[in-house]
Amino acid sequence: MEKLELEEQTSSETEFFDLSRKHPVSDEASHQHLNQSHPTNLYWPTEIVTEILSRLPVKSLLRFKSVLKSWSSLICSPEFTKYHLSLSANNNKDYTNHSVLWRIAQPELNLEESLVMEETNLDYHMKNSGIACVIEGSVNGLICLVNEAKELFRWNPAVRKYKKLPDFSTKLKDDGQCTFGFGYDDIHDDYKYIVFGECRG
Amino acid sequence: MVKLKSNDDKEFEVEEAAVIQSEMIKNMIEDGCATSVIPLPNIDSKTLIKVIEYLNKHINMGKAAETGEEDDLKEFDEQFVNMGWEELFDVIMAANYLNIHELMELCCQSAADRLKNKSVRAVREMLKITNDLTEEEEQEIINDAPWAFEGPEIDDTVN
Repeated sequence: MEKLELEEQTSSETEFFDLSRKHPVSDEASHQHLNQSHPTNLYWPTEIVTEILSRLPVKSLLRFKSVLKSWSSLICSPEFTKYHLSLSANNNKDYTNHSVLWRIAQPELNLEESLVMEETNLDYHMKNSGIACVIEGSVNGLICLVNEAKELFRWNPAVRKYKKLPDFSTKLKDDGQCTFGFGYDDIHDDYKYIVFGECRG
Repeated sequence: MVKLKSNDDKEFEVEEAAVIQSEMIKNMIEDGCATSVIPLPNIDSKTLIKVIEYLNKHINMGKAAETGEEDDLKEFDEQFVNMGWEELFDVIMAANYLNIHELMELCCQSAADRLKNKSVRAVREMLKITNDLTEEEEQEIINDAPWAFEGPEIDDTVN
């Protein structure tokens, strides 16, 4: 499952997209028209563009943010993100999008022998730091990572971004064991992290 | 039989079993509003012919699995969406208006498949979109995820 979650969240203000397709222009002419207002006689409702774009993988969407301003607003909107997530989860009946294989130090592991649809160098942020990371949970395509220094990160492999979560380690005993939980709160539409550990003092 | 009228005043007779795949027309029939001709002011005859062709083929879709016609239907669908952008968008608009879920799904997926690996320039040209972003805005989007603009799959051709 791919999660398209972007940092900026702008609401879609544009109601219609300008696709003035009844006046096809040649390649040369279209360059001349660039950045000029173009005569429009047909409008495509946001609804239709949403239906088409929501069927695209995250990589295409990140690229198509630069097609048109209204596409950018649409793709960045939380409503679109949710719709895209629901489609990508439901359209993937064989669950091939549902797992991430974690390979850091085992290059001998032959990924082709497992049911891998796509192999990507995710270039995760701590790859070259020498600090080991553990996956502590995943929901809606987001992954909760914890490193040896007990720093917590929320990683979105589909957009290749991560966010460091508030530091909790100072509140815990240095040698204490910790257990983590990561889940989605449907009622508040929010992601929650739970840390069980022994407190200082 | 149900009579449909396109916006260029052409009438088409369609079997009720086929036409009720359109939620909109199904509701009209159930409400008793479809006694004579149903005017479709948003759809031209060329597009309506395509839509009716789809409805007739998918008339007994539920039974297709039992009778082994699933492959036949799949092949029909593949051929059906083999059309230009203008025609595809007309069919999508009609499917949306008539509320034919499966047809909407098929055409939007086809549109998405065509766009998936295209470069930004190719998408703009294919859909006749005039860029309204400044160079700075465009660069900012590229800088945010440069990897999304790179890769051997990215196709700059327009077709």
